[in-house]
Amino acid sequence: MADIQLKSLTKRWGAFVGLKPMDLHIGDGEFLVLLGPSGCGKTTTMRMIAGLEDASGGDILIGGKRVNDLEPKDRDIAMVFQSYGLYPTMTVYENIRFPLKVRGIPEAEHHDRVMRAARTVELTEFLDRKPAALSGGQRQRVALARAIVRKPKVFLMDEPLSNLDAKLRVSTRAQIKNLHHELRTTTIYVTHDQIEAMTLADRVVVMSRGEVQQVGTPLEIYDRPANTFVAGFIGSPAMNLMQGTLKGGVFEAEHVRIPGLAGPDGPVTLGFRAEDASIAATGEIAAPIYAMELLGDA
Amino acid sequence: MSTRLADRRPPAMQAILIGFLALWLVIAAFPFLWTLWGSFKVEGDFFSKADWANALRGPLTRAETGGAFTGAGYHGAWIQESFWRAAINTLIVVVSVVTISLTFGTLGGYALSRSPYRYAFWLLIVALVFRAMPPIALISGYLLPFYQWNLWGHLPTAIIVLVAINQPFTLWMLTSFFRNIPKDLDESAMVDGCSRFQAFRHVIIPVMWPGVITTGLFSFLLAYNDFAVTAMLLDKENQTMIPKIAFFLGTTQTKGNVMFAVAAVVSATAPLFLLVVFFQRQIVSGLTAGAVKG
Amino acid sequence: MATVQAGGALVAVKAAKDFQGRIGQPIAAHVPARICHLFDARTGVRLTRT
Repeated sequence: MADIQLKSLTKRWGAFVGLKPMDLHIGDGEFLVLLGPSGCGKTTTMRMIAGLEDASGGDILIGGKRVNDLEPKDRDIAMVFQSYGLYPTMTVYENIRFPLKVRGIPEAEHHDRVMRAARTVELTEFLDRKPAALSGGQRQRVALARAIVRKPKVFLMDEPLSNLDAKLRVSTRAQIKNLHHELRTTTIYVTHDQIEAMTLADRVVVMSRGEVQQVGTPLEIYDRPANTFVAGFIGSPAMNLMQGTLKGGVFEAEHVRIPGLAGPDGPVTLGFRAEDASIAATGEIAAPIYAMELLGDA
Repeated sequence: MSTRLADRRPPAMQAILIGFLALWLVIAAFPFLWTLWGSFKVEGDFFSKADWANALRGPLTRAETGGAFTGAGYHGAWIQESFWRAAINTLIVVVSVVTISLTFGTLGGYALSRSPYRYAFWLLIVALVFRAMPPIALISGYLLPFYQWNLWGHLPTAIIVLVAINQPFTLWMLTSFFRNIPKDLDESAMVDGCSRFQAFRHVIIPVMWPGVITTGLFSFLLAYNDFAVTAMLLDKENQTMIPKIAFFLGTTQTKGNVMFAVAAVVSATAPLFLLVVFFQRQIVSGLTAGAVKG
Repeated sequence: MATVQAGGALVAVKAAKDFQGRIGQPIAAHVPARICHLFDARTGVRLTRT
């Protein structure tokens, strides 16, 4: 168990900046989600914490100890990869046992710990199989079991659900959530799926183009987006954004007139969520219908 | 699926297919079988000027040795002309070449396949260029310095040159095998507690076995069948099998020497058959590199 | 969900399940100030929440 501190963590490849200086404190036992579109630097951030990528600048502290110059194996982390990274020549049992074996944990403990991890993710009947003989969801659970078998200080999960079908994703998501509740291990979880982020996270870090856009609880990010990027990225459907001008507390744009706002006069962007607004006889927006959609929750 | 497909074929088609396969088998196998058969005859029969069928009936073999078959060719080659020494030399050369080039090839191939830098690509291109050159072009350059430094004629010299010729190929082949192994695998291992080298040894190499064996077989064949290097760089004492066979053929004035060559050819070919049969499964899975993926 | 063109963008508004709308039909939407977020037009940074 440990907290993680990132101090001006930076990544550059030549002239290209992969991650602009990032400061973040992740509390002990927290479930933190790095959320953003592909290429936003979230995976790079995680890989630097894991030690699979060198930081170009800044410090990474795990449990108060600077780990920048440590090998991945010496950082006491466990990672679940997008494509699971299971060892194809080993059985499920051997896969789960591998971290114990290479770390020289006494043989006598292995069986108990492997079985406990396997039970946690409901894999006990597949222990003799090779990964090739498993379904995607089962492979994913092997990767999870391999991560929890060793009680590391930190879990890192890199889009662990993205190779699963929609139905399995929901149940595995619940499983991960439950696992975190049980183990209370500090977890960093990378995803581009905002629903995953909203359902799993204690706190979400929204990233775009190598830069942190907002850090906050799912509710804060949903209710008070820090900028138009976050507003347009979070929520399904995303927040409506309109260009217009504000004058004396009245927002005006084509087909739109909303009074009662507070803000400086001049050009502004106004946003609201579709589910907060409703169709009425008269209203602030008056325009012909462009399209109709039937949504389950609409 | 394939059996069902075969069942649906009209019988005439089936017959043509089998006939074609049989014909191909005979044509492909004939030179080997002919040589094998002939190696147990005397020169007068196998190279009969009067009637080629003498090679089959073997009248002179019967007349000279009293039996339908004779081991005289083998006896002459192996005992009289010390072909066993050539066989041992070949064994030394081949084992050394395969061991050295696989060691460098797996380590180098792994490093190149995981390298994020562009020079890795150029290294491979340079390797390809050297591979494309005929070996004899390199050897003519080696001869003079080797004489002067007194390196000429020894087995280690031939081994080093063969490794040098072989290495670009092993590097290429192994690099492409390693590239087919997802990086996630090494990274998982490193997070799980391995050093880079342990990840390579415990996780990557077990997955790589078919690739390593296939590559090893190819470099084995290159060293085993080499003529240019071994003929030019080894003195008579240290000759390997292939130059020795050529030497037998070059002394046809002495009666019976040609039969030594024939017997030696059969002796040199037999291990190849055994090898391919033994490693057949690995070769197939190595050649279909997709099987490597987890 | 009904979509209209307003303020230079496509804007979606929640519609009741039994709402029957045809494309092109003029409608109105109730968007009170309390559900609105204001952002700087140039930088995109949040201004206030009313």
